[in-house]
Amino acid sequence: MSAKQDLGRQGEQLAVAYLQSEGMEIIERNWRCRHGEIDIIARDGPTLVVVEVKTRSTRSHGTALESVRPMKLARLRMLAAKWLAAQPCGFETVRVDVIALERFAGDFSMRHIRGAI
Amino acid sequence: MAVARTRSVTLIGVTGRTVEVEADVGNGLAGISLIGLPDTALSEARERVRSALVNSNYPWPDARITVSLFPASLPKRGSQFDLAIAVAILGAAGVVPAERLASFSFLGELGLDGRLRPVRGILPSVLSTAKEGDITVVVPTANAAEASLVPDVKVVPVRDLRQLAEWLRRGDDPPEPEYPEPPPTPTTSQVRPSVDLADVVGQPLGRRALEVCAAGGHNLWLLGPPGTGKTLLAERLPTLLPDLQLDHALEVTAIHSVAGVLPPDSPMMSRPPFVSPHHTATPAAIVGGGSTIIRPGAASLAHRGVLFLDEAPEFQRYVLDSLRQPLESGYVTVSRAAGSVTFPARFMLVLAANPCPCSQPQEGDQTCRCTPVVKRRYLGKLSGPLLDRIDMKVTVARSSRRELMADRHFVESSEVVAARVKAARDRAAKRLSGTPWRTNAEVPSPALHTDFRPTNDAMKPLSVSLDTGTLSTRGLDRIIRVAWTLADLAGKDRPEVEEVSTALALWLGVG
Repeated sequence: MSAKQDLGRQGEQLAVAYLQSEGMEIIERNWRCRHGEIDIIARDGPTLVVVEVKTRSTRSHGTALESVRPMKLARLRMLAAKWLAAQPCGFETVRVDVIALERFAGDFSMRHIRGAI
Repeated sequence: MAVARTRSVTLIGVTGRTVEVEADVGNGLAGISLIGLPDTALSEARERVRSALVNSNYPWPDARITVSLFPASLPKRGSQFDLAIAVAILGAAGVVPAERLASFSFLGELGLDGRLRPVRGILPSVLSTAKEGDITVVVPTANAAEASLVPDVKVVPVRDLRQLAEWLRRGDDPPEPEYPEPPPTPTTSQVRPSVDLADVVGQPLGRRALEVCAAGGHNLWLLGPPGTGKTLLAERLPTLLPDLQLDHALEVTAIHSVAGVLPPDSPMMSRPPFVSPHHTATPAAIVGGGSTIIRPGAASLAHRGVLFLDEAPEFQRYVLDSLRQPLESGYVTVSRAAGSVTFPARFMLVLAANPCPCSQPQEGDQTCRCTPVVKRRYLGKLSGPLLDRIDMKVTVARSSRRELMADRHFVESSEVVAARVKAARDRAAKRLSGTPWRTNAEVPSPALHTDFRPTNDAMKPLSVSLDTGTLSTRGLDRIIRVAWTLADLAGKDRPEVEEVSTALALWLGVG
């Protein structure tokens, strides 16, 4: 596994732990279909939460948060619809969240944007 | 996460309007949105401001940034908001104290490395800010000389964003300008020293008409065959005019600043402008126009100066007639989808025309081959209503060898004539003190018939023309104005019969 993939997996693991501490229930991780991948699918009470996790080790190519563009969010929305179509049960609302992690000197900083769209 | 507020100025024509710039750095997906009806140049400010901030070693907020320009419904154009946007974002991000920003107005375009680039229209922008009250204006160093022409306003020139931000952080005295303070001295670059009225030999009448024209600010039509010196005469009119007074100079400079044609070395236009558009000019080029940014045309660039239309019948008829409104009112209103804009346009119109297209001499052996219909059609391009607004119509004839030789002893240099013009203008200004007008040409009709009415005896020569209907009411007004100028030149207190009859002759065009 490359260092980059390792960083991403580490970030996702931290994000899962954080979401659970926030009282959310993780339904699925790294769900893939031919259109793309959802990092984390979680339940926050009656709401379905689709989470994009972005981890960066340097800011040389911009911050982790700003690397998530509106087009990426639109794709997540579309993927959420695809995932929901395959589920027996429904949800009241769907939310797309972004978790941005940045590594500084071996430690991580995290920002959680709820309801990015 | 906070909101910071500052100001800038947008230009509508040549008048500035204060625009409040607010920046909000708040929660949400990182990105910047710019609202308040920006045009393309202003939308691109996002990229310029971002690069300028990052390259000046300030952090770009990793948050949702909203920049709003008020009033929101007013369309805003141009790159002069860059600096205000950058400073507002720095204020909202907490880099500079946000509460300090409200008392400043920022103007300037940002380079990607954070340096400040000059923008056009600085003078009218600063002028409008000065009316707002006690506000300090921050401008790019390259525009400092132009901005400092405005009296009673504090101007801080800055070189780049870092210098400005550090100053705002420290809160001490503004950065010292790194250039010798440019004295707003009158420049004489407009007058070519090689041009002098003494060059025009053989046209004593033309020279006299030019003097009257310069003294009263009247309009002039020079009619005559080619090569007689019509263009020569018209080009020498600016040499007879006195320097512009400070308020007029500011108006003229503001118009040239908006048009982006201000000479960089001499920020103040202290000489009356001379504008000579080519006869292929469109109405938009003459009165002003443009689809998004409405720019002043030749008529406004000639404000407080001379608009010279050489070969006037070659202009499109509707181009010539578009001058009728500014000739009467002294301003021109341009209406477009984007809105309507009023530019000042009080100029002296000088028309030059040949009598017919072939322009052969009317007498002698080489006779003119034009039929009467062709001739009439040619000069018919100059419509009646337009000619009605021309105070003086002068025929410039070819002069014989003997006339040329004789006239050599009578030519006067521009300097001599300009002194007489100045004296006459001073007389007029003294009489008109307490009114908004300074030259006889500006006095409106009601005032002409009340305060400045010549005696009934003096008006006698006009009665015949009025009775027969050859003279319009407007023509009457124009004659009275020229008569006043003639009286000023002659040093008389009021126009007498002599002046009124000369003015009538000049108006009718029988020189």
